[in-house]
Amino acid sequence: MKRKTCLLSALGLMAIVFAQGTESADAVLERMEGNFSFLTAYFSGETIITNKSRVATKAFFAYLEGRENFFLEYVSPARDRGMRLLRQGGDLLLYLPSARKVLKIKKGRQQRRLESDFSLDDIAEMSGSLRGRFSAELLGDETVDGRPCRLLRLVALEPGQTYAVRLLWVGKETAVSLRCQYFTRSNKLARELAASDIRQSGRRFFAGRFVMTDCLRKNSRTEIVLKEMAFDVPLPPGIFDEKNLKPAEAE
Amino acid sequence: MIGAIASLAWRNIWRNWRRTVITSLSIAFGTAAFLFVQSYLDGINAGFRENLVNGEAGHVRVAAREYFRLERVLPKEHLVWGAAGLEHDLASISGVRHVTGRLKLRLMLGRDGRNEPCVAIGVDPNGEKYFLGLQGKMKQGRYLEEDGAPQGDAAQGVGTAADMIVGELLAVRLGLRVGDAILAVTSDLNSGTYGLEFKVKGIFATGVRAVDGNVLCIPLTRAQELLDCPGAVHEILLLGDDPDDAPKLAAAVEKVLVQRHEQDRLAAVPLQEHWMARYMVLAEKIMNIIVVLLMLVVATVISNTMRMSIMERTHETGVIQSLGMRDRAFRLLILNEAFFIGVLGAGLGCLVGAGLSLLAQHVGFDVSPMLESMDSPVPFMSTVLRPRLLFLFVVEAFVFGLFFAVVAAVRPAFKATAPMPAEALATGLQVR
Repeated sequence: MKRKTCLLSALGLMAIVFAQGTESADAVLERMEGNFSFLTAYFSGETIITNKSRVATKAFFAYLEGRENFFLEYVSPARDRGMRLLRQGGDLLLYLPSARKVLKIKKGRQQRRLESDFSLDDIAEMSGSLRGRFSAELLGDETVDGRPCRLLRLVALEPGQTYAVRLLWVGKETAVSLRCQYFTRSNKLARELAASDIRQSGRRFFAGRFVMTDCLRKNSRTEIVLKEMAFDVPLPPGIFDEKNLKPAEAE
Repeated sequence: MIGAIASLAWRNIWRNWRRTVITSLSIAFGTAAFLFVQSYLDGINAGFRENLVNGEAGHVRVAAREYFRLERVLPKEHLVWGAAGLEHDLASISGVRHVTGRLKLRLMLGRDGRNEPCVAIGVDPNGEKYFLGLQGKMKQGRYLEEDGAPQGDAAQGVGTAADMIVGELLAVRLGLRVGDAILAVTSDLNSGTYGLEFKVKGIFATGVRAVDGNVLCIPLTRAQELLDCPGAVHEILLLGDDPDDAPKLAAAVEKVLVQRHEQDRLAAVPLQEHWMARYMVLAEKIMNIIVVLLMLVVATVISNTMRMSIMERTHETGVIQSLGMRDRAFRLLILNEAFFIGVLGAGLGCLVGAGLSLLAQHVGFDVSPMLESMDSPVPFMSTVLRPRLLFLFVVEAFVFGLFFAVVAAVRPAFKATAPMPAEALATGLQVR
């Protein structure tokens, strides 16, 4: 009887170890996206764009509501100040203070780069869900900057996705995507996103620094440094309302 | 004696006028075909060259070396700074007729929820009159006017709509009409997003699909504002007296660049080194082969007709020889006849060929349905092809027709004198 109990315990232990080792790709994605399970969020920070010898720094703040609504406004430099970006559903709206007009960019036109190495798609989907749009496969375990990670391969389910294939390194402990490689349809590495400065807020983990490198261009990278982050905060009224995108003084 | 033979030959060709007319028509047909094809192929070539010179290459183009290397992706950061000073220096070079600067950038156009990517060319409206020449290609509205002051103050967001002229096909895609406002957004030199509102001042049609469907023009100052590069251009175009002298002109421009210590960063590229010009050299060779093949076909037709025309007169040869005409004089007679028929045929052919060429030059061949079925527009190719008739081609065609008429008569002339008069008289091949 004792022997039987020991055997069952050993089998149970093995099952637990085995289950952990083979955590499904979807489960990894679910844990990763769990970090984004907030009602609202506020960020502020800087974008540092390096293109060969040119370096441009732009300060911004942003609000998020769920996975669908996203608002961003630049506060500096002077040329960019007041530019606003609003994502609503599939469309992106840009308010351009230089023209005092709002430009609506339809889905499908958003692959164009507007912010250095980040395309509008990249910005728009930072809070979006990958599940349902990609099929995920667990390739194994690797280490990124000394942190153990699960390596996932994501393949686009629909042909319209900006990148056909992605390799994603998700931290085992934090479930934060620490590295992501974006591949074109011809399986060419197009861009690479590295995340660092991992912080914790309650049960949530998130990166405070992102570096996107364009692998098709020399000396081109964009760094996003988040300075302030707050979750489940009250939002300014009507912040995601298209009518409010244009400031009252511009009317 | 030659005068007498020439007189006899002239009378001879009208003794059987039907034969003369048929032979002359055959030569005329060949000459006209040669002239028309020659002017048609030259017209296509000249159209390509004109579109290339005016639309992109000028006779010489000055730009950053890196810009030339990456030109096809429109690299916005490789600029010619302080362009006005350089343009002034270049304009003072002997043989330079016109100089203009351009700034090219990709724009996203937005109107009524519709987005269209396009290429904008920032132009000096006056200088560009000698290059793109859009002032003469406006289908609706008017051409751009000089516009000096920058439009917007980014800090204050103040501005009024600037003028823009748009390609006809691009206007159709966006549903644009003269007077409409449209928003144009680009990524500037500092990777910032910048946009301006424009008003459509005119709609142009160059006949080149790649241009009419994708290009718009805005004043240079507005393009500089969009890219955040005041005083800079991507390229400076020069027109000299003769495109064939472009390499010499480029060498003179290089000297100016050396004087300004800009030779390491900037380069002057003559028309002949443009990638399209290199293709055109190949295309010209292919066209020459086509012309030579045509010449062979036409020459064969003329030779055959002339030969038949002479050989059927063997009986007549016998009569003339039995009357005492020597072989040499008889051959001269045949060649004289061939000469007169050649003059008539080639002359008529030149008239017909020139007439057809001029008509086609006026009307043009609309190849747009053919081009529309292509996946991507052929660069620098007009949708309407027009022959180009040069006086030189008329002379060439006349000489060609006449030469083959006479040359084709040489062998039959010798052959006709070979049989004895009695044998010739016995042939009975006389045709009246």
